[in-house]
Amino acid sequence: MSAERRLSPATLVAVAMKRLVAHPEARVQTRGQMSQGIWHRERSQVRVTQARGKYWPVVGHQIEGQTYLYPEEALFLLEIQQLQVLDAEVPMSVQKAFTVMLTHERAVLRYRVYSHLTRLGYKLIRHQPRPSSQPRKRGPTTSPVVGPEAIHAPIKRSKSHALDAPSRLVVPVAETRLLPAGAWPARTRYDVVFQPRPPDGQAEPQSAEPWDLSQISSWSEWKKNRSRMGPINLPSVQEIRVDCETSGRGFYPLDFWSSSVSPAEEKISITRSVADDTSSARSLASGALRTLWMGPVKPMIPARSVHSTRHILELIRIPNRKCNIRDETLIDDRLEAFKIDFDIFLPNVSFKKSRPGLPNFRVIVTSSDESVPKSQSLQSLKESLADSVPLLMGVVGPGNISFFALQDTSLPRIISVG
Amino acid sequence: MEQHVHLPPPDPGAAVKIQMFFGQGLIWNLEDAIEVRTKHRILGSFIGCLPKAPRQVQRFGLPLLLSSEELFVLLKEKVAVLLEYQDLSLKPNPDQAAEFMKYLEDSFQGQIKASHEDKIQNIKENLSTILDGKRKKALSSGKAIADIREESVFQDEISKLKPLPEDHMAVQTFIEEIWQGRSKIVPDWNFPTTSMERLRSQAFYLLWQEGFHLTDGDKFGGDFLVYNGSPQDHHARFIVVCLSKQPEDLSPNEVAAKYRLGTTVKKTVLLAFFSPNEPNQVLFQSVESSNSNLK
Repeated sequence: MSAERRLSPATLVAVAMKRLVAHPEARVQTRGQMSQGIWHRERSQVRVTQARGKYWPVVGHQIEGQTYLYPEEALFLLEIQQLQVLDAEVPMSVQKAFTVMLTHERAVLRYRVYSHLTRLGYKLIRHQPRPSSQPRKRGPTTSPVVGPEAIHAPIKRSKSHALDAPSRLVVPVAETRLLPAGAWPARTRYDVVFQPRPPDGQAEPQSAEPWDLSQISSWSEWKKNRSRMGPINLPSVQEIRVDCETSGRGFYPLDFWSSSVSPAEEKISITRSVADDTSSARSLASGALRTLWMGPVKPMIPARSVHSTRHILELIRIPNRKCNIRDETLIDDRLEAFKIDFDIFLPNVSFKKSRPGLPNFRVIVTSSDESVPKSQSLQSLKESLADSVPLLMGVVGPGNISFFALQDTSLPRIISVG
Repeated sequence: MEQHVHLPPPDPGAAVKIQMFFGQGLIWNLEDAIEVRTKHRILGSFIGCLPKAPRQVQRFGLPLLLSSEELFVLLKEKVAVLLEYQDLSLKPNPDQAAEFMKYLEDSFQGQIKASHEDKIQNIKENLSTILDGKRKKALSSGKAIADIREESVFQDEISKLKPLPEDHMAVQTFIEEIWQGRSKIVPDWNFPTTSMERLRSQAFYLLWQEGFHLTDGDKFGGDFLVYNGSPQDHHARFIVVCLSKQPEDLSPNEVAAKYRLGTTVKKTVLLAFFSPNEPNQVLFQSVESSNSNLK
């Protein structure tokens, strides 16, 4: 084995002037086209002393007013002869730079992915977590089914506006037009039960007076006046049960009952019960399909309130919530290992270091002999990101690097009838 | 036949020097890399940027990365020695720095001289063209042609030459470090340790001894790819899959998966496993379909 040849000055001049083609492995570059930097041992970064060339819109960052390069950026620029890294005024060789800048196995994998993608033209920066996004706005509140028409019991307005005992609102319904949309068939009355949470340390809730709704005679008045009545202290309310009959969805948000919106997501449960003796109920009971409407078990959705199969499926859809089961077998012990390494921007995307914007891809670097991430880890990682940027796994093998996308997919709903 | 699992003691006189790098090896010297690949049929993979063509990912340059199994073979055959370079991460000492500065200065001076001579040569070659141009100019401006003499024009042009500025100096970025300093032979490299590592290294070694070329099998979901000749000229013939259990313990689904893996890409899947009877003996079994006439 002989040491690497030092090219003679005449050869260097000839190569620089392109009159001679050097060996493919020889790196010869004119000084004026190279940037200069100094290896900073404590920071494990390169402090830039002279910036030349076209890479600076992407690489480099400021520390205390000076430009620094991360090891992967510096090593790449060194490999493509755009940078000289000096250590005690002596430029580093590629071997020395590899040894000094890649100090653990993961750094080598990361560098290989960085080099691979940058050579293809992508712009890579170290992953920047998004600032914590605003909590998702709640969807529009659906029109509630019930509204008080008349009130029976007086209300006690306590200072804390808390309800300490179940309050029963019995609301007689005189005319169906006073009902909000979606309530069918009409009932003569609705029972609204507020079931408060027992105060800490007590098993049974204490008794107290229910709300006074004597002044409210119609649904619109209820809406106008509910702010005057004060908000329910929602954390103290465990459940609000509304007995009624409805053709719409069975769940209504608690903010219907209060002017202050609570972040809690308790829902009012609607219990379906037998229809009272209203005219509609009578017509059903005597019509052609009367057997359906007799007895304790009835159709959930009356036929005249829907117009297509898709509508029916919408109405009976289970709320679309992601599975929150914390199955221990689905969680990686080494959640550390699945950190996102780089944000990737397409070559033709305008990129500003000060405000990079949302990347086109994100990549997690891993080795080909490591295991595939468990689904729960990926899920929690994606949820913490809360955007739709595709997540890639860059799998580094001895000979090549492959990229896999682990994406959510939704199965289409096929409706073949109606 | 007893198969040696353990490596022989390292031979400092071995020609090829390999830098130990997180369980794998790096070769930085071009001649060593060529020797290992051509003479010893150990292919490794290049992972660096090729200076001539940095903006592509089809062809790579030094360093040559060697997998653990490849290192195993090279050490067993006493062709190479594994080294750790302790001084590589240190700052160059003042003597080394001075030596390098001298080299740079000498190179710069040499380049000034070489480029000067180059330019003189250039003028010599183009002198007739220059003279023609000057004569034409003299004609149009009314000066006498006789005044334009070859020798004076030549000296005139030379005097106009400026020395090579520092910015134009050509710099060579070295691949290999010139001061490798104290290099320590990696004693007792702890490989193979686990049973799967032993299986892989033994399987690799046996197939290598048979004369095949082997590379990593990532692309096809296997452990190795086996070629009859150089991968540049041949397609892979086998995909080797190392099993921690016996082939008969594979479920029919697994066998079908392995079989399909091979047939879709026109290769034979070779299952490698330890013999149940003799420890440390590696057996191979291929998975092929039988052209039976059961219809």
